Amino acid sequence: MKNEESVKEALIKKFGSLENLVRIQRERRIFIDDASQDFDRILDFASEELGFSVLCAITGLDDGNRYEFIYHMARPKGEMLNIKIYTPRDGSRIKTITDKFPGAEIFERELTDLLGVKIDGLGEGNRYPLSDDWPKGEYPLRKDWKKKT
Amino acid sequence: MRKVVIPIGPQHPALKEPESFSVTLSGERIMAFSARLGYNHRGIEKACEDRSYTQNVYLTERICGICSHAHSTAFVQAVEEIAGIKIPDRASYIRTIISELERIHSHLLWLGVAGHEIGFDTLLMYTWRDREIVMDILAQITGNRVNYGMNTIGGVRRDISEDQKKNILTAMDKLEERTLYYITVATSERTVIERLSGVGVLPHNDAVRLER
Repeated sequence: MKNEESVKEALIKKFGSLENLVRIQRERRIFIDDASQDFDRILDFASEELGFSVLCAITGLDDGNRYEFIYHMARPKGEMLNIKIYTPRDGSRIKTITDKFPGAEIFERELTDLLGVKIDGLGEGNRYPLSDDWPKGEYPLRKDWKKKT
Repeated sequence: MRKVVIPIGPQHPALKEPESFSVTLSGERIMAFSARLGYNHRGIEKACEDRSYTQNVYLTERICGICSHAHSTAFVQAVEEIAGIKIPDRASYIRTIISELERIHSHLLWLGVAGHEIGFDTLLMYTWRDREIVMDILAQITGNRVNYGMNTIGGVRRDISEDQKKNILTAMDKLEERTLYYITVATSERTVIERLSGVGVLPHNDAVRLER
């Protein structure tokens, strides 16, 4: 667990706000449980200084009270750093990371389509994965959205 | 040269599933590209919300036919991690054996498809014939050729007997001999080399830039 411990130490040393929020779940799996405060700088630090330069996916969840976004970053040897941020449900807005991670576009399109999150800085583009005639304002992955049969 | 915009799809004989691409060509070089995906979105993630954990083991298996065990294993491992369940060693081995068998038949399938796409149908026929060896083994162990239903939360649902173990090892010997032959064919056959060399090259710098 040497590598994982050194990542945790480096993160806490650089960002005091992460004091009790970095958790090593198991070998090669590190979680930052709430990076909402310094997210941009944490992402830059992780991808540039710690070597987590591969973006695997962005997961969006609705836990009833707020939205949670997990940015899954990885290093070539398979170690993953999962950075979580939270936003309130109403008027949820996050910033795009496509300026540094062009591959994030498809994940962010999925978040706007399925959860209805506004993403600042994400330009115009095709919808994914819902169809072109999907009614506006219907966001299926929200917990309070039920199938209409 | 003048630029031409060619629409491909969503229905097209070369595509395995519906996808819509808009390719801007100048001669034979692709200058710009845009994709419209999501035609096959089935809402499985949403469907999982309405079902129990046990039902979801089988639902996640049906995300894909070629990699069904991988999806089911990912789901079951997530649940076991959250619940703090440690599975028995033998269950872990059986899951790995099924995963590896699935990987073998999946790779043989795609090797055949790659051959088919360049017109090398013989390679398709040979690899898909040999896939049947793996499918028979899987049917023997799990009862089905795809969507095995082997996983359950906390372990696996079936054991592998001594006879099945002997059959697996015999099948692997046969498969190893044939796969080594395909490797030789695919890497030293002149028409394959001429057809594939220099096509779809991704320079190292671009690969590093786009991994982000």
